[in-house]
Amino acid sequence: MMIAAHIVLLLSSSGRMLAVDAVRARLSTGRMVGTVWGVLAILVGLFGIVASFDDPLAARGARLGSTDPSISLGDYNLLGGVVVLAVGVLLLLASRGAARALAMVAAGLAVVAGLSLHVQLGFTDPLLGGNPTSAAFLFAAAVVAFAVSRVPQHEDTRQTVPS
Amino acid sequence: MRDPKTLLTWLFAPATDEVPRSHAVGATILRITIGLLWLYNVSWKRAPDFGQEAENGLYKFTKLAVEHPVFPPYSWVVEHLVLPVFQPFGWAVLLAETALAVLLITGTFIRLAALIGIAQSVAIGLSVAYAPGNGPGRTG
Repeated sequence: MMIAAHIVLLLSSSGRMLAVDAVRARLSTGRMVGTVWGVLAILVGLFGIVASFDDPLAARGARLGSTDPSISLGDYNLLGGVVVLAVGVLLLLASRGAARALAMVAAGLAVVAGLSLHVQLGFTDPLLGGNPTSAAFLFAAAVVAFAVSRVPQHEDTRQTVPS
Repeated sequence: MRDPKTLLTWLFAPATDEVPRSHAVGATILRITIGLLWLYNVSWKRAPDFGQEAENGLYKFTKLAVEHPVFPPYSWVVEHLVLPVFQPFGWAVLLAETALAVLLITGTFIRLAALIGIAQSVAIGLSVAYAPGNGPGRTG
């Protein structure tokens, strides 16, 4: 089934909405995808902060997800939550018209945070209380932030497909 | 028939061909759903030994290709070329599946991600399809 699903993705046009591909194709200014990812990161960060009050710097933070169904956006302790929240706020501000440099800062912060998890996981307790899924989520936020940062500011007003 | 250069250009181009809106919405939902599946499943690819010492995790699932062969040449490759250098293999799997999750949920280089996903799904199918508790319909 997974093979078939990927073949459909290979041949379909799944990059027109909520996608960096739409920004690459200049069908979108990245405003919508940046806003959605900014809000998502803010919610994930707030969850990490609130859910880790009991043990703020746990090596394995609170899990945002469930094994049934198999969906997770990662584990985060208080510090991890604060970092994700910061990434989300920066990305949201940049997407809503503030300086695009903020998106670049968000991308840099997310990449460093994601890499820090991979450097520490399996070797020492991760500072951000995350797992490889947390790192992937941070890298995803970084990709979106980078795409938003590449769009010239004056193109913000251009109306395109809702991506 | 497209020449290789054109094919490569197509692979790296944005997956944004003009289609009816319903098609775009459906394809987007599928992309994000599959991306979330990969995102969840990178969580148990644990460095540095990826389950080799405890014989669990990625090591256990990779070894199933040898214990319950689906395609004997693939089992031979796993036994003689993969398991002896399992840690670099584990990092490669972690990298591939992280890239799949990131590219699909963000909608970046979707066609390339889909191709990697096909390869990874075939590899998973060849590893676990005949393992107890699994069937060709459940994996790959």
